[in-house]
Amino acid sequence: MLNNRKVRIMTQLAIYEKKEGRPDFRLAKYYKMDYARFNALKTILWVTFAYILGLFLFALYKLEYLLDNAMTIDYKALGWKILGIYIAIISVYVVGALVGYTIYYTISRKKLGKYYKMLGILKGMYKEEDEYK
Amino acid sequence: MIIKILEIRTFLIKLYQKGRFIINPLIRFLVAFLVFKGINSNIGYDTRFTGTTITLLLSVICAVLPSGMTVFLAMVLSLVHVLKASIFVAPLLLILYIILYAMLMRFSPKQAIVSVLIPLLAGKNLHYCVPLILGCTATPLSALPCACGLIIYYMLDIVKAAVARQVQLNLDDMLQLYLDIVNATLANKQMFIAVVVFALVVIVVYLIRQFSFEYALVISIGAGVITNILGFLVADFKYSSTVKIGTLILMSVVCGLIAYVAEFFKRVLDYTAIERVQFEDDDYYYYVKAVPKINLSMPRHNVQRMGDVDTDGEDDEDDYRDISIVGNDDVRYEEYTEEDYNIDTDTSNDENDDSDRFPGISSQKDETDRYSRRRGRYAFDEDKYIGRPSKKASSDDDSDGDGGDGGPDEASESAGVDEIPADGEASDAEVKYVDFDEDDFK
Repeated sequence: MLNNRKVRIMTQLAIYEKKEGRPDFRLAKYYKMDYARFNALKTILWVTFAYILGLFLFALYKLEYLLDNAMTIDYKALGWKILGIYIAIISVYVVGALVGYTIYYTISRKKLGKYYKMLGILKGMYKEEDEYK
Repeated sequence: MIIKILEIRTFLIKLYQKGRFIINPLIRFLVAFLVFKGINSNIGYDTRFTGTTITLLLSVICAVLPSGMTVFLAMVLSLVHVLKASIFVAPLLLILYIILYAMLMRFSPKQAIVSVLIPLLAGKNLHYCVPLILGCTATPLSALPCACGLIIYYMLDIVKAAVARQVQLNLDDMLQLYLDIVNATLANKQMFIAVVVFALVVIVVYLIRQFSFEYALVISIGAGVITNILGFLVADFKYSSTVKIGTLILMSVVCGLIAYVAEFFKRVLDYTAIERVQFEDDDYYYYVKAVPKINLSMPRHNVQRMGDVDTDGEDDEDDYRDISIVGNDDVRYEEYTEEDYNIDTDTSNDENDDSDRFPGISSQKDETDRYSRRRGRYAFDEDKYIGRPSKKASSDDDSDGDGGDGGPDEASESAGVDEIPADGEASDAEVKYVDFDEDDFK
């Protein structure tokens, strides 16, 4: 005989697994800080890449000046300036990424927790059925 | 009037649920087609890609793939066109796209489509509605793809002007062209102003939308419109940008209305629709079609007999039939205020409802249950029903035997006039058309 309650729970679990749960399951492989750090690392790589491209465009824009003053430019000061700007930008992005991905992870884990709770209920129902048999 | 609009919305929701698998690709196709058409008409330098066949082909590809593909193909198409016109400007545009993706777009990939919609809508000054809608439906992070869209829109104008100036392939000319592009970009205050104002609009709308006071939606959109107008006006006075004040105010208000309508009909495009899932246990294979509940029922054209006077002074079936019609209308009217899409295989009779433990859907289900209980208290005296088993309760195990999909229609069908208690009153009859749980009757 069909157990409607069980069917309903299994349906809800199946819908969750099919749609909303997919990213949650992927994310469940990580610990919270690991996930946040991993994404922060990816952010650092992307931003560094973008910064290098931006630096290239800026150098192209100032090419005439750079060529004219190639011998007189204080490269050390210029390097520090470039590094300083880079660190400032990266800091903003890293902090943002850590906070953002931590929040995202927490929300995802809450949803996953409810999913596991449902699974527990389902397990209990199976147990009850087995005892009944 | 408002009931009519709500009925239209319900009709659209039902229509969407039935044809979701056609409507979604169709919308993606239309958006992609408009985007590619816009690119071709704006910077269509390569005539091999401006034909309708190519545009249709690309749009079909976008229709069957996620919306991110539309953004990607739009960028590729624009690069191909610019490459045809200027071999020097195209790499610059490519670098710009990479920087925009790396620093802005990748943080909000779901709203990436905004970055191609803004350039499309900006031609008609309708792009003001984008931050308003995003503020209502998304998070403040969606300001990032908004900024991308604005930068692409203004940069394409600059690139178009640069491409028009054909230069020789020597270093001096190319360098000069590049300097002109950068100078034009830096001098384009309108772009920076738009980016800041749109971000402000998204944040303002989002923050006000979070409050639970009455008319929060209208107030948030109104605040967004005011922020938009004031932001551009202040920037105009401060930086002497080229904003047309009349157009700005008019189009901001129009876009506010569009945003309100879009938010009102949001449910229509909600991806919560009929689900088909399959799973198995030890005994069965299940192929389940889960139908979301829609509260608002379409009007039934019942005939109310006006001259029928109950002269016998006793309760009979005819009396309750008339009463039930009135009760049904009352319930229907109340249900307009509730939005719930409960995905459930069987909605009619459950003693133990555990769906409140299910994520995502659960909150809406909770609201429905609470609301149903509230209505229950309002609609009838619960004491009358204590200890009185209903017909549904007695046939619990056979509830799925009819093969119904558990939708709202099934619930209302099962709630017949015959179940009305003999000593019931008008308010009792109303109960028959409310999908109560068994818990409400205990």
